[in-house]
Amino acid sequence: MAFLLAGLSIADMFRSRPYDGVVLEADAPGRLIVRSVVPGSGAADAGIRDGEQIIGIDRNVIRTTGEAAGLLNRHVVGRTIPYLVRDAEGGLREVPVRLGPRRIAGLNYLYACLLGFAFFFVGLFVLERQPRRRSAQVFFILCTLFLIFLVCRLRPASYSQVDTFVLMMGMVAFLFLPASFLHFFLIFPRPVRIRPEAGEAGYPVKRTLWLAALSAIYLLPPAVLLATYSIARREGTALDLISGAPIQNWWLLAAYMAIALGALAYKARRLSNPRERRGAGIVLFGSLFGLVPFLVTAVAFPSYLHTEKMLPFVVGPLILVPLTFAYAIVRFQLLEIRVILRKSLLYTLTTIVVTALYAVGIALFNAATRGTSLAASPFFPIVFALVIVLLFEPLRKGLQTVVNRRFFAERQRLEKALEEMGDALTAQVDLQAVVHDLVGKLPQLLGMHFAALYLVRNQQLERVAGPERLPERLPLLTELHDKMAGRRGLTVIEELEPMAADFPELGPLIDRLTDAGAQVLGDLTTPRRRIGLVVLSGKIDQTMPLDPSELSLLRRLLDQAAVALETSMLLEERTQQAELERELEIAASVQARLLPPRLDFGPGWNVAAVCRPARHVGGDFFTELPGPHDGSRAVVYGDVAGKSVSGALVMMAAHEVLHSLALTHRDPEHLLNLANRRLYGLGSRKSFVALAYLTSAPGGNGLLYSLAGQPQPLVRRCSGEVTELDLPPNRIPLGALDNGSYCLRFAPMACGDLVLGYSDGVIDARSPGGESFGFDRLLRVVEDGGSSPPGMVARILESLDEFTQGTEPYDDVTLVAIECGRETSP
Amino acid sequence: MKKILVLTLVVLVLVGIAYAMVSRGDRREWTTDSQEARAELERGLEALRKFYHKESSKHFKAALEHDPDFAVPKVLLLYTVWEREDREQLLAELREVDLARLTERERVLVGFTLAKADRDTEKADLLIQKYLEVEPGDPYALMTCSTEAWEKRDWERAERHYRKLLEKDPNWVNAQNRLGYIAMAQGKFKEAEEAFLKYHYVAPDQANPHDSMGELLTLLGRYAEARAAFEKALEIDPGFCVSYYHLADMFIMSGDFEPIGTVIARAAQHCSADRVELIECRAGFWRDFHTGDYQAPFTEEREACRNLVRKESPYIFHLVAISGGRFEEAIQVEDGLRAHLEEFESDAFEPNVDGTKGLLLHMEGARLAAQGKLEEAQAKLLQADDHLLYWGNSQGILKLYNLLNLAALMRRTGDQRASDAIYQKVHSVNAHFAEMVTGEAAEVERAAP
Repeated sequence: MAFLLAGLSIADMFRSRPYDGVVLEADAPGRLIVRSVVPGSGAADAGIRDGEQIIGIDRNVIRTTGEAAGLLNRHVVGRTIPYLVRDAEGGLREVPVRLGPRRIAGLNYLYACLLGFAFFFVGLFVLERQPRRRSAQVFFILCTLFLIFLVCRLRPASYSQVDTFVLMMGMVAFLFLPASFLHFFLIFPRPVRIRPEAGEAGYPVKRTLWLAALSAIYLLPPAVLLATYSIARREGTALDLISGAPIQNWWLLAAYMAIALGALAYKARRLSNPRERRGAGIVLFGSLFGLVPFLVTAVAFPSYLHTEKMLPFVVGPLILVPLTFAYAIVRFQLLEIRVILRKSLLYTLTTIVVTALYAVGIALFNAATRGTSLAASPFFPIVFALVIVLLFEPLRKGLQTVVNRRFFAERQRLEKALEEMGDALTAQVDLQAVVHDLVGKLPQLLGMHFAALYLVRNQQLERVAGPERLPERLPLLTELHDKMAGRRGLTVIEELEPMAADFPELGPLIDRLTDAGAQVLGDLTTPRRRIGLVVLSGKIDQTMPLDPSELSLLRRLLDQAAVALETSMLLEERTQQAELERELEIAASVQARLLPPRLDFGPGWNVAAVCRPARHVGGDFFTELPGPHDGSRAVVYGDVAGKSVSGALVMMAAHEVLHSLALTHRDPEHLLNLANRRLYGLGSRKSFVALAYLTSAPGGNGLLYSLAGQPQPLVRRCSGEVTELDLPPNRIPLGALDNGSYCLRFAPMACGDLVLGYSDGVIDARSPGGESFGFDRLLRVVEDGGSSPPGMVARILESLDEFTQGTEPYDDVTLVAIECGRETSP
Repeated sequence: MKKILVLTLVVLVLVGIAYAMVSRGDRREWTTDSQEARAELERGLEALRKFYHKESSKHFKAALEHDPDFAVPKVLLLYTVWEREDREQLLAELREVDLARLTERERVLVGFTLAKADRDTEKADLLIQKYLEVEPGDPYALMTCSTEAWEKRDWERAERHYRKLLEKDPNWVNAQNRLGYIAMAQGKFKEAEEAFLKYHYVAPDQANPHDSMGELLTLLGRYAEARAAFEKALEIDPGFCVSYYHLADMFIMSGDFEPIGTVIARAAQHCSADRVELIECRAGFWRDFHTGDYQAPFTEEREACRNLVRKESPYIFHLVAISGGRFEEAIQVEDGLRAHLEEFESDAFEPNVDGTKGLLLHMEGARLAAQGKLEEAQAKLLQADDHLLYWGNSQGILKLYNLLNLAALMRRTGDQRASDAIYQKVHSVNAHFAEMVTGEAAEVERAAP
């Protein structure tokens, strides 16, 4: 748009039309003050002098250049028309003025145009070179503003209808020029850092402050302008404008530039990289000697800017600014001039062709609608301009595609190859094949040394393919990935350097990758998960990294690769999960076989037991051991801390320990103490076993029991009363402490009394609403439960099922019911 | 971002189109279905703005031929048609207009015209003021309002509205001309000259701007330039009779009576006999006053002339009368003027009350001075100055003459300093006139016994 605007301004200066030879003062809105008169022109012959005011043209009193232009354009070259002129003393006089052909403004304007375009092209080169770098973007904006200011604002005003528009645009450019200048030098060649406040998360605070400061920098000049205008209007004083802006804005410009040059001077001394120091020094030289004459003249001797003779000396040195920038850039080998120049010229030509097409279109449309109410509508030009703005870019792009096909066939082929590769990747489900495509084919297509692939595994990035010289693992830096996602997944490594100050891990990482020859990082992320990272080297045939169009192509390919990788990884994970499930089923079968199908507690006792694991395999168990005295039997049930596979392993260990010790140690207390020590010796402090040991007392009139972490068993007497068995003195779970001292307790049993042992999975069972089954509910079930042990066990399981309603079990459930036989009762 | 930008532009375009359709849909300029009538009206308005009354009248009439129900041309024709019958006819037609089908602006213009015709000043003012509150920039409402203010000699309001009109259209020469007169009345002669120059620049083929400029130059004592301006006006339009009158006045002012005969002869070819006679009689009175022959106008053979001058130009009649010691006749003139003034004050439409008051006070002051009642005379002349403006070369010259009389009185009462200040004031406006009148007065004083 800026280019178009500048083109419009220049084209207007060259357009042939009747002209009186008056060059108007641009800083006198609402009045037509003569800044100078072209020698030999009609105005000069009529005796119109500098400083006089044109009041009327062709028998019309006029106030704007637009009105004047309309009146002049009614006539042809050679015609003489009357002018009404106010002289320096305020007197009016009527003079005849002969209209001659329009003349080009002269060398001064030509120079200003060349200077403006020099700025623009340098800005364009830098942006093409590093489109994602913030300083390049700001520099391009700065150069564009210079272009508009020089071409539109410094143009000699005349009676052109585009005068007002382009001069106003020049004025707007001037408002933002100093802010852009200061912004650029604050971030060039490295951003100024604002330290976060102590104790606060640095990044957000810093960013907020920085944005606030930038907003203030950009908003201050328009605010000063508005305030100056408001005050002048309120006080009824006329503003003295210099190139469209009041002196206050020029002072602000000077202040901004002084701060900017100060920042640049500081960097020229303090930057660690000598090349950057030299570059900053050169730019400082150019900016200082280029801008100071202009600024000093504008602020201290504003009237000099109004004189044509002084203009080359004042505006002339400005050329040093783009020249020194260009020199610094070329000297540092930051861009490949040939390619960019070719592209820039072609892009410019395309823009000119489109502009010309629009001009023809407008002329035809005007001719077609002339005299109609449509053309007379004041809204018509506005709507027409908006339509042009809307259509301009699509048409330019269309033409650009044709130009690209003609001049950049190589690029077209690359595009096609990458597109095909992307399609192939999308169809691929084999992880190895996707990896091969990315790491093997991609560097060949792009003409790179190598590509490497890192995948997210165990919270870090593991290299799955790529040169050995690259690190095997990289840390997974969430902030880095977020930053890359903000850049649509692809970034040149050197652009990450400014972030190193915020993330200490990033600096060494950048160094390692750069040392290995990597230049570009591609983030592989899908909306569902973060997949990994692609690391790319530089190109084989040049030191340049990828250009913007290649980056764009690559970005699309990496998006497809991320999806392909995710699909293949999901497939692989699903396969692994299926294998694990099969193994768990085997483990559950083994564990089930460890549990005795039936228990024998000795004559006169009825026993029933059940163990229901929460998952495939569980940590609960029950088993039968030889009792302490001859012919007696003991029942133990246990609950291992932990579930699933780990719990099952400890359960099996505990089962094995108890059985092996029971072969040689019949004394229950000794057996339990030994088992505790053995399990403690296994070394896993987190996997202990809550155990209950139950055996019949000699004589059969009661139970001997010991508890190691299990809940107190319940006893339901014949009378129907349900109580808990007394707690033994020591009941630490087996394996929890080195020395457990377990004691037996005696519980008298009468005929029909029933003891129920249970694991904590019973009372901890949860309903769908999250409520626990609880001790009280268990108590009520036991009170109402069946008379026989199997009946009791079945009743409790039934209650649990009703309560949980199919909810996933919270814990393993173990029940052991022992009834004193009726025939053995005393 | 790009999508948002494009979307915003599309929305802006749509909003712009919608706004254009909505805002323009109900903003018809003029109510007529005839394109030709509308075009004629626009041409008539353009001519009216540039003060081409004949041309504008022709276009308004043409507009009515294309659409006889078109109301606005009838309103505007009243600005240019002076025949009583035609005016009555136009007003009658306007009373028949269906106001409901007109735009608000048209309703106001018609309503205002009818209210004014019915002498309902309050209603007319209310209508136009209320409309201007809603549409403060409407040029035709401003034109109506400023013309009304002008006719009532409400200079402040007239100036404000004429300036607004010129902001709308700097080529609205009627406004330019009247702003020139307002500036001249306030003693802002440079502004007045600029306004007349601009008027002349825009409409060089009109006699009026030259005549206006001639009046100003006469007042300022730039007689040669004034003569050229009047001659130019008469060259453009030999039938522009007011310029003969002003040209004769200019010669009288300059004390050069010789060419007046030629002026009268030329006027006789183009103007009515009444007007020519008035020019001739006035010139005779002034010549006699100039030569000090104060009794000559009162001879029998000049009775007709005397009666005409007493009626149409009472000031010179009064001046000659008191100079010749005919105080009774002077008092009769004053009484006649006083009665006239009472009529004025009871008539809301009579504009020139202030000027008439100033004239009466000056006459009384001049007579009292001649009768030796110096203090009373001084008070009257001071009051007269408050009411008199530099209005053209008639009231303007009267104001200057009043000031010179005042200066002479002050000198006689011993207030030399105030006398000199007033004299300098007159001298700065028209040095020739100041010196001529003072010289004549000195001669009279010297000749007095």
